[in-house]
Amino acid sequence: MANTSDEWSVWLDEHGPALVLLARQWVPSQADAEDVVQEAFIRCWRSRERVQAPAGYLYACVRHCALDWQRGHDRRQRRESFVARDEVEPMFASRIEQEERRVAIETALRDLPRNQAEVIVMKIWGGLTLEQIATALDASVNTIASRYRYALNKLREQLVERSML
Amino acid sequence: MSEFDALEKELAEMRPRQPSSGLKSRIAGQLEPSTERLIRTTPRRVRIRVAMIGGLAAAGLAAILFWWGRVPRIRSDPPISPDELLLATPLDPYAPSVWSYRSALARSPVSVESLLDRHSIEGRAGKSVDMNINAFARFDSDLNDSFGEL
Repeated sequence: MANTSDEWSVWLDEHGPALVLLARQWVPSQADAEDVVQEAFIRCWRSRERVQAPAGYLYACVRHCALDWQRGHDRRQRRESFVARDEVEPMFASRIEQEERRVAIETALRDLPRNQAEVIVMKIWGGLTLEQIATALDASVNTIASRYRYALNKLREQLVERSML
Repeated sequence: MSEFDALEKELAEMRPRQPSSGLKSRIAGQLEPSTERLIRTTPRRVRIRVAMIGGLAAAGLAAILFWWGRVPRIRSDPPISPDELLLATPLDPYAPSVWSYRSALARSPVSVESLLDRHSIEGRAGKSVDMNINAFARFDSDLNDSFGEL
Protein backbone atom coordinates (compact mmCIF):
# COMPACT_ATOMS: atom_id res chain seq x y z
CA MET A 1 0.00 0.00 0.00
CA ALA A 2 1.29 3.44 -0.75
CA ASN A 3 1.46 6.25 1.72
CA THR A 4 -0.49 8.96 -0.04
CA SER A 5 -3.56 10.14 1.76
CA ASP A 6 -6.03 9.15 -0.97
CA GLU A 7 -4.39 5.85 -1.79
CA TRP A 8 -6.87 4.07 0.41
CA SER A 9 -9.61 5.29 -1.90
CA VAL A 10 -7.98 3.51 -4.84
CA TRP A 11 -7.69 0.40 -2.74
CA LEU A 12 -11.31 0.57 -1.72
CA ASP A 13 -12.45 1.04 -5.30
CA GLU A 14 -10.37 -1.92 -6.39
CA HIS A 15 -11.15 -4.36 -3.60
CA GLY A 16 -14.37 -3.01 -2.08
CA PRO A 17 -16.86 -5.17 -4.00
CA ALA A 18 -14.90 -8.38 -3.37
CA LEU A 19 -14.41 -7.46 0.29
CA VAL A 20 -18.12 -6.93 0.78
CA LEU A 21 -18.81 -10.17 -1.06
CA LEU A 22 -16.37 -11.96 1.24
CA ALA A 23 -18.08 -10.50 4.29
CA ARG A 24 -21.43 -11.64 2.92
CA GLN A 25 -20.29 -15.23 3.38
CA TRP A 26 -20.82 -14.69 7.12
CA VAL A 27 -23.03 -11.64 7.29
CA PRO A 28 -26.58 -11.75 5.93
CA SER A 29 -27.16 -8.24 4.68
CA GLN A 30 -25.25 -5.88 2.45
CA ALA A 31 -25.40 -3.10 5.08
CA ASP A 32 -23.94 -5.33 7.79
CA ALA A 33 -21.28 -6.54 5.38
CA GLU A 34 -20.32 -2.93 4.67
CA ASP A 35 -20.03 -2.28 8.38
CA VAL A 36 -17.68 -5.23 8.64
CA VAL A 37 -15.63 -4.01 5.68
CA GLN A 38 -15.45 -0.52 7.15
CA GLU A 39 -14.06 -1.74 10.43
CA ALA A 40 -11.64 -4.15 8.79
CA PHE A 41 -10.45 -1.64 6.21
CA ILE A 42 -9.64 0.99 8.82
CA ARG A 43 -7.81 -1.50 11.01
CA CYS A 44 -5.86 -2.77 8.03
CA TRP A 45 -5.02 0.67 6.71
CA ARG A 46 -3.70 1.90 10.02
CA SER A 47 -1.37 -1.06 10.36
CA ARG A 48 -0.47 -1.40 6.69
CA GLU A 49 3.16 -0.43 7.12
CA ARG A 50 3.81 -3.40 9.38
CA VAL A 51 2.48 -5.88 6.83
CA GLN A 52 4.46 -7.43 4.01
CA ALA A 53 1.48 -8.69 1.98
CA PRO A 54 -1.17 -6.01 2.42
CA ALA A 55 -3.64 -7.36 -0.13
CA GLY A 56 -3.96 -10.70 1.58
CA TYR A 57 -3.94 -8.97 4.96
CA LEU A 58 -6.88 -6.83 3.91
CA TYR A 59 -8.96 -9.89 3.09
CA ALA A 60 -7.82 -11.60 6.27
CA CYS A 61 -8.96 -8.55 8.25
CA VAL A 62 -12.39 -8.68 6.66
CA ARG A 63 -12.66 -12.38 7.38
CA HIS A 64 -11.64 -11.83 11.00
CA CYS A 65 -14.09 -8.98 11.50
CA ALA A 66 -16.90 -10.95 9.85
CA LEU A 67 -16.27 -13.85 12.21
CA ASP A 68 -16.35 -11.44 15.14
CA TRP A 69 -19.61 -10.03 13.88
CA GLN A 70 -21.07 -13.49 13.54
CA ARG A 71 -20.08 -14.43 17.08
CA GLY A 72 -21.71 -11.31 18.38
CA HIS A 73 -25.16 -12.09 17.04
CA ASP A 74 -27.69 -14.64 18.00
CA ARG A 75 -27.43 -17.61 15.71
CA ARG A 76 -31.13 -18.14 15.31
CA GLN A 77 -31.82 -14.52 14.55
CA ARG A 78 -29.00 -14.49 12.06
CA ARG A 79 -30.33 -17.54 10.27
CA GLU A 80 -33.83 -16.10 10.05
CA SER A 81 -32.63 -12.77 8.80
CA PHE A 82 -30.34 -14.48 6.36
CA VAL A 83 -33.27 -16.34 4.82
CA ALA A 84 -35.51 -13.29 4.94
CA ARG A 85 -33.06 -11.06 3.13
CA ASP A 86 -31.94 -13.68 0.67
CA GLU A 87 -34.43 -12.61 -1.95
CA VAL A 88 -34.04 -8.89 -1.63
CA GLU A 89 -30.31 -8.48 -1.26
CA PRO A 90 -28.39 -10.15 -4.05
CA MET A 91 -24.63 -10.53 -3.82
CA PHE A 92 -24.03 -9.81 -7.48
CA ALA A 93 -25.16 -7.16 -9.89
CA SER A 94 -26.77 -8.64 -12.97
CA ARG A 95 -28.94 -7.78 -15.90
CA ILE A 96 -32.45 -9.11 -16.10
CA GLU A 97 -31.55 -11.87 -18.54
CA GLN A 98 -28.83 -13.05 -16.15
CA GLU A 99 -31.08 -13.05 -13.13
CA GLU A 100 -31.69 -16.77 -13.15
CA ARG A 101 -28.01 -17.51 -13.43
CA ARG A 102 -27.20 -15.06 -10.66
CA VAL A 103 -29.63 -16.73 -8.28
CA ALA A 104 -28.23 -20.16 -9.13
CA ILE A 105 -24.63 -19.09 -8.59
CA GLU A 106 -25.42 -17.30 -5.36
CA THR A 107 -27.29 -20.33 -4.07
CA ALA A 108 -24.47 -22.65 -5.05
CA LEU A 109 -21.92 -20.35 -3.47
CA ARG A 110 -23.91 -20.16 -0.27
CA ASP A 111 -24.13 -23.94 -0.10
CA LEU A 112 -20.37 -24.29 -0.16
CA PRO A 113 -18.45 -24.83 3.08
CA ARG A 114 -17.21 -21.48 4.32
CA ASN A 115 -13.55 -22.36 4.01
CA GLN A 116 -14.10 -23.17 0.34
CA ALA A 117 -16.37 -20.24 -0.42
CA GLU A 118 -13.86 -17.76 0.98
CA VAL A 119 -11.12 -19.19 -1.25
CA ILE A 120 -13.37 -18.85 -4.29
CA VAL A 121 -14.22 -15.25 -3.45
CA MET A 122 -10.61 -14.27 -2.82
CA LYS A 123 -9.34 -16.01 -5.95
CA ILE A 124 -11.99 -15.16 -8.51
CA TRP A 125 -13.37 -11.80 -7.41
CA GLY A 126 -10.51 -10.61 -5.22
CA GLY A 127 -7.85 -11.49 -7.77
CA LEU A 128 -5.49 -12.93 -5.18
CA THR A 129 -3.04 -15.67 -6.03
CA LEU A 130 -3.13 -18.99 -4.22
CA GLU A 131 0.02 -17.96 -2.37
CA GLN A 132 -1.57 -14.72 -1.19
CA ILE A 133 -4.67 -16.59 -0.04
CA ALA A 134 -2.52 -19.13 1.77
CA THR A 135 -0.75 -16.32 3.61
CA ALA A 136 -4.01 -14.58 4.45
CA LEU A 137 -5.64 -17.72 5.78
CA ASP A 138 -2.49 -19.05 7.40
CA ALA A 139 -2.61 -22.32 5.47
CA SER A 140 -0.39 -24.09 3.00
CA VAL A 141 -0.66 -23.39 -0.68
CA ASN A 142 -1.57 -27.02 -1.31
CA THR A 143 -4.44 -26.80 1.13
CA ILE A 144 -5.74 -23.67 -0.53
CA ALA A 145 -5.37 -25.21 -3.98
CA SER A 146 -7.33 -28.26 -2.81
CA ARG A 147 -10.10 -26.13 -1.34
CA TYR A 148 -10.31 -24.17 -4.54
CA ARG A 149 -10.53 -27.30 -6.64
CA TYR A 150 -13.18 -28.85 -4.36
CA ALA A 151 -15.16 -25.64 -4.42
CA LEU A 152 -15.16 -25.40 -8.19
CA ASN A 153 -16.18 -29.01 -8.43
CA LYS A 154 -19.12 -28.52 -6.10
CA LEU A 155 -20.19 -25.36 -7.83
CA ARG A 156 -20.10 -27.08 -11.14
CA GLU A 157 -22.14 -30.03 -9.84
CA GLN A 158 -24.78 -27.78 -8.36
CA LEU A 159 -25.05 -25.67 -11.45
CA VAL A 160 -25.37 -28.78 -13.59
CA GLU A 161 -28.15 -29.99 -11.33
CA ARG A 162 -29.91 -26.72 -11.98
CA SER A 163 -29.09 -27.05 -15.68
CA MET A 164 -27.16 -23.87 -15.67
CA LEU A 165 -24.10 -25.30 -17.39
CA MET B 1 -10.59 -25.03 -22.35
CA SER B 2 -11.27 -27.32 -19.37
CA GLU B 3 -14.53 -27.44 -17.47
CA PHE B 4 -12.91 -25.59 -14.59
CA ASP B 5 -11.63 -22.86 -16.86
CA ALA B 6 -15.11 -22.37 -18.30
CA LEU B 7 -16.66 -22.21 -14.88
CA GLU B 8 -13.99 -19.82 -13.59
CA LYS B 9 -14.59 -17.59 -16.56
CA GLU B 10 -18.30 -17.59 -16.02
CA LEU B 11 -17.91 -16.83 -12.34
CA ALA B 12 -15.45 -14.04 -13.06
CA GLU B 13 -17.99 -12.45 -15.36
CA MET B 14 -20.32 -12.03 -12.42
CA ARG B 15 -19.80 -8.61 -10.84
CA PRO B 16 -20.15 -8.34 -7.06
CA ARG B 17 -22.39 -5.49 -5.98
CA GLN B 18 -20.67 -2.18 -5.50
CA PRO B 19 -20.51 -0.92 -1.95
CA SER B 20 -22.66 2.08 -1.19
CA SER B 21 -21.18 5.56 -1.37
CA GLY B 22 -21.78 5.83 2.35
CA LEU B 23 -19.10 3.23 3.02
CA LYS B 24 -16.46 5.36 1.37
CA SER B 25 -17.51 8.51 3.17
CA ARG B 26 -17.55 6.72 6.53
CA ILE B 27 -14.06 5.35 5.96
CA ALA B 28 -12.88 8.77 4.85
CA GLY B 29 -14.33 10.22 8.02
CA GLN B 30 -12.35 7.80 10.16
CA LEU B 31 -9.09 8.08 8.26
CA GLU B 32 -9.03 11.87 8.17
CA PRO B 33 -7.49 13.83 11.05
CA SER B 34 -9.86 14.01 13.99
CA THR B 35 -10.27 17.80 13.95
CA GLU B 36 -11.15 17.90 10.29
CA ARG B 37 -13.51 15.00 10.79
CA LEU B 38 -15.13 16.71 13.75
CA ILE B 39 -15.72 19.87 11.77
CA ARG B 40 -16.95 18.00 8.74
CA THR B 41 -19.21 15.53 10.50
CA THR B 42 -20.68 17.86 13.11
CA PRO B 43 -24.07 19.16 11.98
CA ARG B 44 -24.22 22.81 11.03
CA ARG B 45 -26.72 23.76 13.73
CA VAL B 46 -24.51 22.20 16.40
CA ARG B 47 -21.53 24.20 15.15
CA ILE B 48 -23.62 27.39 15.26
CA ARG B 49 -24.72 26.67 18.82
CA VAL B 50 -21.18 25.95 19.93
CA ALA B 51 -20.03 29.20 18.32
CA MET B 52 -22.81 31.17 20.04
CA ILE B 53 -22.09 29.66 23.44
CA GLY B 54 -18.40 30.33 22.99
CA GLY B 55 -19.08 33.94 22.00
CA LEU B 56 -21.33 34.50 24.98
CA ALA B 57 -18.76 33.00 27.31
CA ALA B 58 -16.04 35.21 25.88
CA ALA B 59 -18.25 38.31 26.20
CA GLY B 60 -19.07 37.44 29.82
CA LEU B 61 -15.43 36.95 30.63
CA ALA B 62 -14.56 40.28 29.04
CA ALA B 63 -17.30 42.02 31.07
CA ILE B 64 -16.04 40.49 34.29
CA LEU B 65 -12.49 41.59 33.56
CA PHE B 66 -13.69 45.11 32.71
CA TRP B 67 -15.70 45.34 35.94
CA TRP B 68 -12.78 44.02 37.95
CA GLY B 69 -10.56 46.69 36.50
CA ARG B 70 -12.94 49.45 37.63
CA VAL B 71 -13.31 48.34 41.26
CA PRO B 72 -11.19 50.59 43.57
CA ARG B 73 -8.73 48.60 45.57
CA ILE B 74 -6.68 49.47 48.66
CA ARG B 75 -3.12 50.11 47.77
CA SER B 76 -0.36 49.38 50.16
CA ASP B 77 1.74 52.48 50.77
CA PRO B 78 5.47 52.29 50.39
CA PRO B 79 7.32 51.73 53.68
CA ILE B 80 8.22 54.83 55.62
CA SER B 81 11.86 55.33 56.37
CA PRO B 82 12.94 56.00 59.99
CA ASP B 83 14.08 59.50 59.06
CA GLU B 84 10.64 60.33 57.73
CA LEU B 85 9.12 59.02 60.93
CA LEU B 86 11.38 61.20 63.01
CA LEU B 87 10.60 64.27 60.97
CA ALA B 88 6.90 63.65 60.78
CA THR B 89 6.20 62.94 64.42
CA PRO B 90 7.07 65.17 67.38
CA LEU B 91 7.06 62.20 69.75
CA ASP B 92 9.82 61.44 72.19
CA PRO B 93 11.91 58.72 70.58
CA TYR B 94 13.01 57.49 74.02
CA ALA B 95 9.59 57.20 75.59
CA PRO B 96 8.44 53.60 76.13
CA SER B 97 5.99 53.43 73.26
CA VAL B 98 5.29 51.13 70.35
CA TRP B 99 6.30 53.90 68.02
CA SER B 100 9.71 54.33 69.67
CA TYR B 101 10.37 50.58 69.51
CA ARG B 102 9.37 50.42 65.88
CA SER B 103 11.61 53.37 65.11
CA ALA B 104 14.50 51.74 66.92
CA LEU B 105 13.86 48.46 65.14
CA ALA B 106 13.85 50.26 61.84
CA ARG B 107 17.20 51.79 62.62
CA SER B 108 19.07 48.74 63.83
CA PRO B 109 18.93 45.88 66.32
CA VAL B 110 21.52 47.70 68.41
CA SER B 111 19.15 50.64 68.76
CA VAL B 112 16.44 48.30 70.03
CA GLU B 113 18.87 46.84 72.56
CA SER B 114 19.93 50.23 73.76
CA LEU B 115 16.31 51.38 74.04
CA LEU B 116 15.41 48.29 76.04
CA ASP B 117 18.36 48.91 78.36
CA ARG B 118 17.37 52.50 78.79
CA HIS B 119 13.78 51.69 79.66
CA SER B 120 14.92 48.94 81.99
CA ILE B 121 17.21 51.33 83.88
CA GLU B 122 14.48 53.96 84.07
CA GLY B 123 12.03 51.43 85.42
CA ARG B 124 14.41 50.35 88.18
CA ALA B 125 15.07 53.96 89.10
CA GLY B 126 11.44 54.37 90.08
CA LYS B 127 10.23 56.41 87.21
CA SER B 128 7.46 53.97 86.54
CA VAL B 129 4.06 54.68 88.10
CA ASP B 130 2.36 51.93 90.12
CA MET B 131 -1.36 51.85 89.65
CA ASN B 132 -3.95 49.97 91.70
CA ILE B 133 -6.26 47.92 89.64
CA ASN B 134 -9.62 47.27 91.24
CA ALA B 135 -12.00 44.68 90.14
CA PHE B 136 -14.99 46.59 91.45
CA ALA B 137 -16.05 50.12 91.00
CA ARG B 138 -16.68 50.64 94.74
CA PHE B 139 -13.93 51.13 97.28
CA ASP B 140 -13.81 49.12 100.49
CA SER B 141 -15.26 51.98 102.50
CA ASP B 142 -18.23 52.09 100.24
CA LEU B 143 -18.64 48.37 100.67
CA ASN B 144 -18.49 48.69 104.46
CA ASP B 145 -21.20 51.32 104.29
CA SER B 146 -23.35 49.12 102.20
CA PHE B 147 -23.29 46.23 104.70
CA GLY B 148 -25.81 48.06 106.76
CA GLU B 149 -28.13 48.13 103.86
CA LEU B 150 -28.08 44.35 103.63
